[in-house]
Amino acid sequence: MIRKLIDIHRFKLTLLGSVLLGISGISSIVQAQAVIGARELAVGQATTALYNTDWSMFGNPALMPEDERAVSFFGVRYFSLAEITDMAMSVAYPTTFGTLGAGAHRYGDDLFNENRMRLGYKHSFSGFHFGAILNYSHVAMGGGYGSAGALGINVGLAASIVSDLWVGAKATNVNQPEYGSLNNEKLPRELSIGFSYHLSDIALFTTDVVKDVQFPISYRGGVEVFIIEELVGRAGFTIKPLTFSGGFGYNSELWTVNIAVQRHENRALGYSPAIDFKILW
Amino acid sequence: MVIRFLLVLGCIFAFSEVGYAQQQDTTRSEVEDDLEGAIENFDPGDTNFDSEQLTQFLQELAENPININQAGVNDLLQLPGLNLKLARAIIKYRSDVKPFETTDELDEVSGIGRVTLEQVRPYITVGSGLELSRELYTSPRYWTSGGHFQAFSRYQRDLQKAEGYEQSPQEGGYIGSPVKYYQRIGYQSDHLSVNLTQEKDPGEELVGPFQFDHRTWHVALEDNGNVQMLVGGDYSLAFGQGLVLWSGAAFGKGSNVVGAVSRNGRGIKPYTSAQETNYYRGAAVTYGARLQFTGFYSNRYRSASDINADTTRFPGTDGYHRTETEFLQKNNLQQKLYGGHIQWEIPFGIIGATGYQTIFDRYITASEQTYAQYDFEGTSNYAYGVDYTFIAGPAIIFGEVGQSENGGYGLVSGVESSLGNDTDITLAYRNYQAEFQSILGNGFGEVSGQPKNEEGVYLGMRHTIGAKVTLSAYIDQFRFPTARFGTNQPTQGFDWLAKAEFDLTDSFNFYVQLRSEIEDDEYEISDSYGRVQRRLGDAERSSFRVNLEYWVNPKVRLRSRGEIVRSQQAGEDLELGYLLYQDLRLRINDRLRLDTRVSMFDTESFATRVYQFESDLLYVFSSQSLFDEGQRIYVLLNYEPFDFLELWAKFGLTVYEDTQVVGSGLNRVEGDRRSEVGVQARVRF
Repeated sequence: MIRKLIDIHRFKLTLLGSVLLGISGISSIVQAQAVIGARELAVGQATTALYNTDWSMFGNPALMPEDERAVSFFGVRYFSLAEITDMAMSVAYPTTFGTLGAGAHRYGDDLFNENRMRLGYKHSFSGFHFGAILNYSHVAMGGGYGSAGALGINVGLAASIVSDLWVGAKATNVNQPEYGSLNNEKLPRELSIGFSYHLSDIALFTTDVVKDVQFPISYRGGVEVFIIEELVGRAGFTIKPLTFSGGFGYNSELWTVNIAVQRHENRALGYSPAIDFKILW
Repeated sequence: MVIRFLLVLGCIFAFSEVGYAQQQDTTRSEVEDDLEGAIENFDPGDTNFDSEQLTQFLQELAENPININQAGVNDLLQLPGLNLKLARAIIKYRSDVKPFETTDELDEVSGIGRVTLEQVRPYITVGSGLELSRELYTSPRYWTSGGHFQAFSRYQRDLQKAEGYEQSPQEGGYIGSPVKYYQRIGYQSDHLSVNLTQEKDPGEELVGPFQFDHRTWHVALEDNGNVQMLVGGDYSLAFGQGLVLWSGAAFGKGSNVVGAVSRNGRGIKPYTSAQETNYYRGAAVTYGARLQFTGFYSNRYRSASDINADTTRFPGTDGYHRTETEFLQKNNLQQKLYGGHIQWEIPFGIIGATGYQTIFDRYITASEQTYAQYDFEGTSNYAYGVDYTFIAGPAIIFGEVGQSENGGYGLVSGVESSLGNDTDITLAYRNYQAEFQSILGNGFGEVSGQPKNEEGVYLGMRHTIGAKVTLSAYIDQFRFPTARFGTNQPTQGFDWLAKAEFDLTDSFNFYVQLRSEIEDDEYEISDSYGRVQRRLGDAERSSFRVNLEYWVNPKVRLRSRGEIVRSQQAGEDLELGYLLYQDLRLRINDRLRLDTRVSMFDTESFATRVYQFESDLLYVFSSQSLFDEGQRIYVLLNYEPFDFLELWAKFGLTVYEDTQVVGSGLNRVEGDRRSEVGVQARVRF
């Protein structure tokens, strides 16, 4: 994982350098942010067993909400650089036969961008939650370098062992999709297993172990605490790569807003601010 | 009124169906856990020998559970986790107190605690209460009581074409197709067993519907008065502690730390397995009650490497006849065997004696390597031994002493005891001389198979804390007085295991397990003048595992596992490997089940390989050895469209990262993936 993120960031920087210098040096490693959501970022991206999240369309599909119709928007700007920004949107629509979801995500700019369109479904019975996502990823490079797309399938499951303790697992791109027919660039495949546990009425702890098939195993964790009324404070970490993050959230009856900031182990890169906003209808 | 009655009846039926199906799934899980605990050894190369037989033994035992209201001592002793003292206590309880109405009542029996009950539960029944009363031998009902017919057909293959199939047989390639095909047809009742099993391995030739590479058959009469067993055809033999004669499944060091050493010889068993070398062909009989006499005669052909026209090596155990060389050596050696066993059940135990003579029609010669200097050579050999199991207070004392024709001897002896209500302990000592040529034995030890060249002390303990926590541990120290395979000098080592299991609720449990082995191994280095030197160093391999299992509801079981392996081979650097998997078992309805798993593995080398035991088609042993970096996914479906028909299908795929070739030699496959399919049908009525 560490190498992946370093590679990603290195690539992003390379890209930025390329833009600034007007040189089109484009690496083949192209990956956008995998975990979406300001709350999710703030708790160290440990989202595999994080229930009641607005961004299950990009996390564990088995944890999509079953009782609220919502639309959410998200943005993160890496190290305050406008050229490397993620933007995403997610919709959840519960029905009697399960929750339907849709999501869209764009990363990058005209020179290089990665776009994801998602459709999701989840259902549960007798405490067992399961879900799947159909994800179409499309990457495009400006300057006539072309584009490619691939269709991937993510699956997830979750269950609460006792009311305070949830376990979840998800696997991404289980069908092993590849970009393009020429260079067969594989999309990242990940298996994550996580737990979330209510330490008290006001505090939630969540933790994940994540293995991307090409990168070292990564451990993640975070806490979320209700400070005053509906104001929530969060902090989290990831190991490999080493990051620290924190943030706040505010919930009202009809809307929720979360902000987060992430610090990467590479100090030169500084901080990445993120925000998301949810509307219930 | 009638409608209401029918509704109530319907509800009862529906609930009992759900209850039964759930129990079935739990049993399947428990059998698989037992297998994993017994088989997960550091080197599956050692255990492949009888792992398939062990799989079949446990799965068949679960399908035909032992009736604790009727079974005699010998039958009860077949249950994993039960020793002579407990078997006798069960018989005493059902005759002195009352018959068992449920299997849970076993914990009323003195000495049987929670852990033992959990161990035996998948393999026992209290019977239906409708057992047939005594019938005459002349009555057809006598021979058909408890009878069922079953037929299996199984097809398995790898989807990628290996190197061996690209080359012509003249160039050293495989002579047959990559399909593995197995079929079995048989009838079994309480007193009669008839079976035919045929198999063709990948690469072997299939000439015709009755000309498979491997064919095994038997007709057996079981449990007919004093004729305990009479077999014509193929059978396996297992007596005492296995020091003299043991062909069949055996538990070894594993997570069942207390029952690991002591064995209860199964005697003659009709043979049904697809394992190709581990049986005898001829006739065998066991007669008697408390005093039993067994006699056997076998005459069968084996496959061994030719040395010259009248000399071969000792026959191998893999049973493959895939290349021209292997095929030409098929059945090139005749082996005759005769001998017997006496067993006397006395008030405080069982005493037995075993002896045999075996004769080959060609001279057997051993390798010239240092490690083979004491191996058997010649055309005939005999061995004999005495075995014993005594009850002494809360303890069982067991052992066997044997000697081979050349004068070499071996002994194993131990004590198994409870220390109070919550603790069980096993202490055992073994000493097999390098000269001990027990070529048909398979005793407890660090090296599986023939007991030789090993001395060791084993200490295992299990302790329960309340109803939720079980702690298990063993340590085994061993010494090889002369060179063992791969070395040229005496070596020694030890291994240990510690496991803590937590049953937090009825449906959620987890365990952590540590195991480690350190032993001497030789390695080569070049000095500054370029001269190669052989040195002795420590080879260490350890693993740490966390395993969680959760039955979300009666239909869904989740299992998550993480395992880290650490290895430092002699003269080499420390390396790491790990495995992470998520497993899902789903009973979609009463007739359809699904098992699926996603695994990620990442190991620095083959030395840090990780193993995962997988669910598979019934009676198929499946343990994957995973190394390098990659992902494995499998799906197993089990469907029972009718009561008499059951179907299985499995698809598995392993994708490696950063490699263009998988495997080596004739099994080499171009590309970064390996996938396999298997389907199986069983008709049973």
